[in-house]
Amino acid sequence: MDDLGYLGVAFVLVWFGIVVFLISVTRRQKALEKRVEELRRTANRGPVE
Amino acid sequence: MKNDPLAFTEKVLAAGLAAGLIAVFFWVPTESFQGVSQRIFYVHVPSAWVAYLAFAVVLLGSIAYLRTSDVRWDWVAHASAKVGVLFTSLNLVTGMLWGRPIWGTYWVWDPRLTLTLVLLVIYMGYLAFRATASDSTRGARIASVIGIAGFLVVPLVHFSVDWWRGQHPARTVFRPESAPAMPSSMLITLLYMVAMFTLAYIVFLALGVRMLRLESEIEELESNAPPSRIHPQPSVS
Repeated sequence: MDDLGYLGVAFVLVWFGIVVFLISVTRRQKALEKRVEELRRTANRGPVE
Repeated sequence: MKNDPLAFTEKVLAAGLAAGLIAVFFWVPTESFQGVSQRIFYVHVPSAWVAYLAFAVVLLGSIAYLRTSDVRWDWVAHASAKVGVLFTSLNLVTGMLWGRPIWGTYWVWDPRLTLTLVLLVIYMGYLAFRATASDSTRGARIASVIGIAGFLVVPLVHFSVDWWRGQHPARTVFRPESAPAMPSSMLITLLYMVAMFTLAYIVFLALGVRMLRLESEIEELESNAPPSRIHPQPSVS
């Protein structure tokens, strides 16, 4: 039973690591894309006369 | 993002890993000496493989960056190091969770374990240096040297089980002058999981490179500088 516990923890940790990495990278990417979009819009608008 | 090939690959990866889990828990036989704990092997070995692959890409990306000063190579090396650190950590943790029921302890100062820990510390240092370097061009060049030097530990980790007597099991798949020491169902499942973890590496690398490209674009837009993919060469005095 103990062995099954270690096996379960190992697999949960691996999947948790993969999913958390994927979610954090995707979230950061979305935030960066939004910022790029904002900066591009500001740059295209040009200086206010 | 619509029609993003990466989003499709992520779905394939999720389905592939789920199928791998089914194979690991319901298809492969239980190993007679180690019992169910042996199934950790199907995530432990692929994690080690991806760590080697990631650090090899850091090596190649770093060499290419030092030769060409093309920042895209630096992005590849930097993104690959992050994935390498993730999978080296998973490799160590799964190894410890296998060690507790089999060896009776989570950790022994065995050459393979110790060198893997050294490898992890080197690339964590690489990432810490990158996070704190104030001059991005100089930081990228120094990080490239660390990335190249760090790779020297990878063959030491891999061959440590042949070169030194330790507690870690000997190689079971790519063994010198002999066939893999396991039944075909175990070997097929292992190779399948290696393929899935490699796909995960490719997805993570692509996402990481995309993120670094966006960060660089933001930096350039904020400074209103014209976009450039070539870092200036350091001046020689």
